[in-house]
Amino acid sequence: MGTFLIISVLHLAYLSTAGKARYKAESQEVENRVRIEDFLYENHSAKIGVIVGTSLSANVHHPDLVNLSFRGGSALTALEILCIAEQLPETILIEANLLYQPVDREMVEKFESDQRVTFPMLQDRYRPMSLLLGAIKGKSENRDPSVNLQSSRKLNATTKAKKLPVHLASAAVRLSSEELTTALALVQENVEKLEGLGSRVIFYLTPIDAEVVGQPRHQQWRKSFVEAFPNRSVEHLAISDESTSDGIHLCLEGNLEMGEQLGLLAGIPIEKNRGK
Amino acid sequence: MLFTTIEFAMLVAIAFSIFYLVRGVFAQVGILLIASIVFYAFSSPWLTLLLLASAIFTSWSSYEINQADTAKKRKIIACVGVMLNIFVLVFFKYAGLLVRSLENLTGASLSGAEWLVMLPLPIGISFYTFQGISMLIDTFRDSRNSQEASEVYRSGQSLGESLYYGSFYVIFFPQLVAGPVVKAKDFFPQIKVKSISQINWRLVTHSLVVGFFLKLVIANNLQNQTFWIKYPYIIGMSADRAWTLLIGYSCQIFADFAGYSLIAIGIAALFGYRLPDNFNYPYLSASIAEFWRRWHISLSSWLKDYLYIPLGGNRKGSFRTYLHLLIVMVLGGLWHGAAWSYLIWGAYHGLLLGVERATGLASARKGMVPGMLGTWTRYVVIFLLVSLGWSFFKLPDITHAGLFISQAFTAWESSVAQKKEVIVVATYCLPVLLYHLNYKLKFTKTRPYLVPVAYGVMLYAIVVNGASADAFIYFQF
Repeated sequence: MGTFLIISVLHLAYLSTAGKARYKAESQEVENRVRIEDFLYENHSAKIGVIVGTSLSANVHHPDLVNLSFRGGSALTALEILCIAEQLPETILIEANLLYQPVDREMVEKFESDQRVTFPMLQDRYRPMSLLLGAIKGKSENRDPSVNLQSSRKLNATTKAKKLPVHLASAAVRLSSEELTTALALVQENVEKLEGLGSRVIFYLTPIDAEVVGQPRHQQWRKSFVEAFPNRSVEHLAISDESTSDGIHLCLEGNLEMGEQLGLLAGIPIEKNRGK
Repeated sequence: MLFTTIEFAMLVAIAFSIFYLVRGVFAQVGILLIASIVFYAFSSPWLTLLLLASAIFTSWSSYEINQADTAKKRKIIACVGVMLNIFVLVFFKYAGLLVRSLENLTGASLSGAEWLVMLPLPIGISFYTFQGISMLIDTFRDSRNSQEASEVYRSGQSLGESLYYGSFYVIFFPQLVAGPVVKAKDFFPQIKVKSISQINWRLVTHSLVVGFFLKLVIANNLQNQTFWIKYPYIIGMSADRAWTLLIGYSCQIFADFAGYSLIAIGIAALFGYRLPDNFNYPYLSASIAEFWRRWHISLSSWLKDYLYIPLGGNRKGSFRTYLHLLIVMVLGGLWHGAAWSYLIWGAYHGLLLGVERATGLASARKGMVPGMLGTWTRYVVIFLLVSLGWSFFKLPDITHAGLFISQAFTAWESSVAQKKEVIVVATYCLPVLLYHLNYKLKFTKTRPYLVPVAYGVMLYAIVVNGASADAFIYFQF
């Protein structure tokens, strides 16, 4: 017990002296939980909107938007998180490409109690592994953005041939009628709830490779979505550089432009964005 | 109900509080029977009926074996009881696989048998049917060897008592859904009045802290990394990544199952029952044979006692010995799940055992490299061979497992550096490595002050670095 207390005190001391310690998430799940912590526990009163999506939107940045997109997760989970939030931004931008992915109820339940606020060391960003990876990253990462951009391009070129078949294979499998019905019902339920709370909801589609969009799952989902919500429009984002790193994820330039496009949808002029 | 949930903690707390207040073995067993039914019914209310029916039928058969006045009658009852347990197991677990395989072989659609594919898989069926079979065989063997009441039934002489204590043995909740597989002859002598002063607190503390640490910190966090060993993500996976994740999976499956077994041992010890150890540092094995003496010991020992030796073991010449080894390993593999990949996994181990036996490599002293270096080299080689076999566990579709293994050996040309993944997997595997090294190098024996430090670190990691309470891998078996 003594060791336990000593380590706990040292951990708390580190967190209080290092402030918002540098961290790096060890997995997509941890990264998603940190995003939720950011959203729920930080003051976002100056933000105009929130992006709710999957890994397709996870790299988007806009100074006036909070990004609650989950890599390897579901936009439906993010919608459920919005429903338990104390404050909601005025605009909710929902990525509709993969909105059929099932809700992670366990993840939502974790944030229904406030123990992470009472005991900050229980927050995922402060996990020992997150701090360890953060410390390693801090020493090794190249801070020059142009170098990062170059390496990103090199990576994209070598990985696309590998990753495209993965996404084609995933999208080749049709959704079951139960999966479809459940997803559509949850979208409807959550959107009605959020609109009832005064938020404006906008659906959007990110550009993905034509070969992937042509697969049965995407075709089936898009058709079912339009049939289920005939009165809602879905914005197809017009990105000038639609090249993807793997068939579905936009490259760096595309993500930068997508941030501006989403800002426009939320009513933020591009000039304002660039000025920040 | 999972061991890692608040509901389970409450169930144990309530059962523990009442257990030591009541007097007499009958009442104490009654508390544990109720707790066991609540534990199982929490996740599978309807399938609890199957569990109870199986336990009662097996206990009744055992009672009848004891009561039968001739050897022939005893044998018939034992055979019927064993066959019925096997039938329940095959029907609920393998019927779907058989229907699908028949469809694939014949090309015909067996739409009338579709309901067999849709049958729910009762949690822990492989474990409780094996325990039932153990009770029947042990009773039969005891009754054959002795004119007195059998060891198994010393606690219950009347039919009512036999059903009561027999059912308790089958459904005792710490080991109900994923073992350790307890043999009747080891369990029944323990059914006595328990008092709180008899609790082995050292065993309880050690088992629970290490068990929860292995499960929540190691297995669950590694699961977030090894998640990628899954179709279609294995398409185009580089060899270095495949090996990183596969080694991570080896540590994950050990931490998951050894963690479960330790928690089960710790919980049972709270109620004064000693369950058998299930793991003995399996990744420090110098041969596959040694690995099976150290991994899932309760199952290996069950298969040896109730299958390998009755088949003839190694007493019927070398050909039959190899055949017996293969049969036992194939059936042991299939026991793990209703997929042909488990059968292949079992055959893979059977073949390795055969090769070891034929070449004399099973003997720990023989090796190409002498001394310590030779021993450690063998540990590494056996670990890698065992790890390769886990591919069939992680990817139950044979074609996917084949693709993954082929990537692991061929896709070296376009390695994508996953530095973070390597660091994370290595960090979570480190405690598993230290756990094994401690056995060999005896850090905690020579430096006893390390023990409380280790417990403190593990507790701390459970609190701040644990991951989601996912089901244990062995629950599916």
